[in-house]
Amino acid sequence: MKLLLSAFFIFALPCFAFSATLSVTYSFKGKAPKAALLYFTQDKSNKSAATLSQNNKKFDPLLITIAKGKSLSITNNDGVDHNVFVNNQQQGIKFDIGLKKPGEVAKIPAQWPKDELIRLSCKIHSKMRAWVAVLDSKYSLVSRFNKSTKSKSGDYQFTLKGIPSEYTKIKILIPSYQTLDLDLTKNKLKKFPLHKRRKTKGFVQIILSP
Amino acid sequence: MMKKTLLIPFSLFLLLWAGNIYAFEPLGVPDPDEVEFESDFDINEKVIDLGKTLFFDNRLSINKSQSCATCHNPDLGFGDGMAKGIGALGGKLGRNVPHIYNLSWNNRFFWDGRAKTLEEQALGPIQSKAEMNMDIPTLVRRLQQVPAYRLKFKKAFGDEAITDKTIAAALAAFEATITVTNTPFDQFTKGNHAALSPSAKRGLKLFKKKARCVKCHDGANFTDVGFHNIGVKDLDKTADVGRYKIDPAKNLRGAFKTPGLRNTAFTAPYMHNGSLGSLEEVVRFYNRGGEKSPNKDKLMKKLNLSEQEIFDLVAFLGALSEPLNITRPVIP
Repeated sequence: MKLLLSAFFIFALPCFAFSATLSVTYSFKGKAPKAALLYFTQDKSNKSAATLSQNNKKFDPLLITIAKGKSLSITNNDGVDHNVFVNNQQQGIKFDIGLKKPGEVAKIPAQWPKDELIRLSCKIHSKMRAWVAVLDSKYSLVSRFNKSTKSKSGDYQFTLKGIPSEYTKIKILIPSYQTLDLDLTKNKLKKFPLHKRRKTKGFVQIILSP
Repeated sequence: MMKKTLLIPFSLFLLLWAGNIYAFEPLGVPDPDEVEFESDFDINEKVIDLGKTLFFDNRLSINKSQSCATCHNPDLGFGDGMAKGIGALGGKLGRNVPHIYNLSWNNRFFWDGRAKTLEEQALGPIQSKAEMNMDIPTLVRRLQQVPAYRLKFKKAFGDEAITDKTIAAALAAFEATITVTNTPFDQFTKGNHAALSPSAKRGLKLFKKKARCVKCHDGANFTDVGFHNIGVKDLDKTADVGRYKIDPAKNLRGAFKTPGLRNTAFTAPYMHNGSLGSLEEVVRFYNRGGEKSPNKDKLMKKLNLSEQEIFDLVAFLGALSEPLNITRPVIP
């Protein structure tokens, strides 16, 4: 009987702990950004590497997270040469992998500052861009803003499930937007403005449900 | 006979290989949701109207001899019809005047992509010594002296003063309205199969496959907004290094931005130096794989197009046309 009880606590407790769901709704005045990253800052369990593909002159996925020091693998899956570079003095990041032929793979260790969006670009195709964020947290939500994610009312709704119930602190990063640091109260719907170049360009509504 | 175990991976390889060879961003009608242009100001009809007036106003050049429309003449495909432009003081410019159709989908401007926004682009030629040679403080003073401009700026931007930012925002807002989205090709894409002639339909197939045009001229605006050295010879021995001057990466020496092809039939002459006078000459240039150049893009290959195929491609390029009626404003 004791053994059964112990097994119950060992296996069932984490299930109770991982129970919160985050519902988030973004709305924008005018042009929406390409993507947003939301994550719980209290978590430190991220150990993931990341993979990016260059396909049809686009990076896929558009925004990706990676653990510090892990390898970012970028594959040219296109029929044309590509490049990947970052040159951001503010973030202190500068690298250029040179010209990569179709099929070639580049591996870059993610030794970059945490909790920032780092923009990757291609020197040949200027509209190719992707963002990578080095995070300790594995509880993150990447939201893409496009026709397929737009609701009939014009906003963008996403959910993140299975969040440890003790986590309430989040950060929201959107390219060119001001970063949002928030501490949520369970079951309380909150609305925050999204600022870009000191102007309110949209809003985010969030509720954390147990 | 090939064993089944080998046949499956081989077929998969063939599929992937074929997919990669012709992988490109789909051609189609430009999507307003995909525009890159985004202003710091609220853009409305008054801002656009102000931008249009400024675009046609000679006050924007040092000696009041040129407006933006002098070189970007709407009657000449927003070009000037010459191989290389002429500045306000009469000097010859270094490159062909690029057209300005569908720029709101772009994120790099000028042949070498040195400007990253429409606003930055708009102020470039005004301030360039070789072009309009106008300094912004003088321009601001000039505009402030005109009561109609004071009123137009007030109506467009409220309490914002006449500054480089509001001038650029107005010009960019007008330029962003110069869009080509209803060509015979667009009508064909939407299901009107009679919109393209049989020759243009054959040209479209060639454009996507044999002629390899989509390798660079892909997407809804027929450009990858990329930089390529296609082996265009500079006739006056200037050896224009193009993008390399902005970004000294080896492969960018002699590379220039891929121009969008909407309304290309109106924008002759072609290439960064205006060295090719007609679309037929352009297709023949590509057919021979461009001229010799030490840094030519590997994408440039001889195409072996027949005479009929050359004319089919020209017919297709002609089907990317939508004449725009730009009424010239009254200059205050």
